[in-house]
Amino acid sequence: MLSYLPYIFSQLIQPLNLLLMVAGTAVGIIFGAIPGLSGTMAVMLFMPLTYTMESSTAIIFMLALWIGGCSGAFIGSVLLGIPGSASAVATCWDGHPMAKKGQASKALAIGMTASFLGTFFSAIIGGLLAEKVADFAFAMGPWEYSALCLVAMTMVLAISKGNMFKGLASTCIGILLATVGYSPVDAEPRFTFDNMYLLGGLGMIVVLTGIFAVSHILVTFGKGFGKPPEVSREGLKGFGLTLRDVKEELKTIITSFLIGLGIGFLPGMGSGLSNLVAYSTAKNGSKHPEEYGHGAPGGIWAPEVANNAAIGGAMIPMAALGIPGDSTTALLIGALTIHGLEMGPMVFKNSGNVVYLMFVTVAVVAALVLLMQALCKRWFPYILKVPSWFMYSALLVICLASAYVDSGNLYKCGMMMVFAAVGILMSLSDLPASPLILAFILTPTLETKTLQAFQSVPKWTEFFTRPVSGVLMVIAIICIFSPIIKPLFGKLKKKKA
Amino acid sequence: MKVKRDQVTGLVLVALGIVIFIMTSQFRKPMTLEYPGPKLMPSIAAFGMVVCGLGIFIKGCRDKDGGKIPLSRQGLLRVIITFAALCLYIFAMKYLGFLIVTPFLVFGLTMYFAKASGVDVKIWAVALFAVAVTGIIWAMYVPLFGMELPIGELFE
Repeated sequence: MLSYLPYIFSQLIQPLNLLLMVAGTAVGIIFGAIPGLSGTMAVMLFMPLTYTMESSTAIIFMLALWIGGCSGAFIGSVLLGIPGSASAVATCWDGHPMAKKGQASKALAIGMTASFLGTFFSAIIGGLLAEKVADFAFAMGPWEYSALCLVAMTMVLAISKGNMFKGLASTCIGILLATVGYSPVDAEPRFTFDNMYLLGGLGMIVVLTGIFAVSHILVTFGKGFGKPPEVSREGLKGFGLTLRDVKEELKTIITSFLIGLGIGFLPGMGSGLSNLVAYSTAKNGSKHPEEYGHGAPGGIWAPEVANNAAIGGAMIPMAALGIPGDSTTALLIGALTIHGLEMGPMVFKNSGNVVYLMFVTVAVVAALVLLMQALCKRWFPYILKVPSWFMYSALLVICLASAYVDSGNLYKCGMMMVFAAVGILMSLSDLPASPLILAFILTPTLETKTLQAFQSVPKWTEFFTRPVSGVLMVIAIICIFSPIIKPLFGKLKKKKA
Repeated sequence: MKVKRDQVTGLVLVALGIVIFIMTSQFRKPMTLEYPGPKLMPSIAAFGMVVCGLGIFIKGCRDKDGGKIPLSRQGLLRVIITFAALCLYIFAMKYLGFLIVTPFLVFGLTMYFAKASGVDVKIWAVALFAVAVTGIIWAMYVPLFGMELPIGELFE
């Protein structure tokens, strides 16, 4: 890794890269802070802009958007009591009560510092571990890869409470959309209806922007924007945190960090789950659990450290295996492929410098986020007061411009509107979105590896008889049925008691 | 009997699964146990849709409310109007190009969004915003990152 340092340094100090890093971080923080938007949406919308950039510049820009988005999510949770994204749900429970007690500055300072600690150290650990995981991955055959993809797709289902059929249906829609165009290995056209625009597949930007961004904006408008929230600017002076505050919560910080890193590493999981697990762990392990929910500092440290630690955790399987840790890393894998970087074990041999640039960029952006947030803290209320009617009309134009730029023709803009309609129907039917994103991105790899496995050994039992793939397949099956299994276990336990 | 949301969702998924299954069966390469070929993934998707559709339908029948649509009739109308405006925008852009059509769309949408939210906005401010957004997006994509936005068939 040390041999790559001159390259990494030379990339980070380039004026354009520096400028895009700062711009990406600022945009990411804004997208993260505003409820309804997210870092994932920022990456999705601005991804086409990177097509003409050099790969290193594109990576720096997209990572800045992502990290900014993840780190900014706590702002809405603290000041409004509405999470900026799913990763900051638990932050609301103590962040907002603390702000209401007149300690908004302290609550925000904890959020900023926790975000920094989680992201920075997880990036360092991720950078140190990723190549080791990649070395292990060299021993994996197509059976293990297929099983791993399956685990990534099904793990999301394990956390969809009482919504198993809907989660699975969303996964199936994602699989179906990914199969449009020529099939891998056999090159047979599927669901193309003799349309030349469909032969090459549907395209990530068109599908994901339509289903997630455009439909989300339209449904939000349908529900009613409401007036901009009233946010108090009182008590936002100073940094609001001392070293003693950090020392007092050191145990919570370390525990939450390990939880976040571990959950981030699991394929398909991410910050959305890690913040909830870390919060409940911190509350259960606290000497004063009764303070949680009323503005306890540990209730902000735990979710914020954990959801940001999930970033480094998610980057390990992303880089080493080409398997996304969450929906944003799934997007990034797709975006990096466009730039000629095929994530997976070989990437360390072919483009090791770029992979380590990614980890270092995340650590640098974490520091930049802390600096920007500390300097701009007193303006956070203004971000949250941006009127929706201005913001969403501009975002809709960016969505359509992205679709056009992605393909160079208006046909794809029309296609995006079709997927927006699909997204609206999914939203009205309460079908979750995350399973679709993961399935859409992972299906090509899953299909290719599965067919390669059958070409090597034409037996489906091979998936279960090989030790690693066998274990992974069992995990995938358990994940699919976990919403049924869990309540059954609960009933059995109650009966025994 | 009142039809519930989850019942409709379930039936649509089952119907979609069956259609996909029929389409998949028409692929040339056969699916065998030794080599499943291009039919594998679409078949899994179709099978999954039918099973999940049935599951959602049955759950919808059992649940008392069966899931409510999270939009009022007025909200649904707002979604449809905005959707139609965006479709019209794409059609107009084909002939008139990005620079001419976009200010009108941004102006119209912003006014509509604000009105629907019960907020009075100044027309000149919205007009200025519409022009600025168009200019910024165009500058960002075209000169700054060297990409193309629609010029319009009338001006090509």
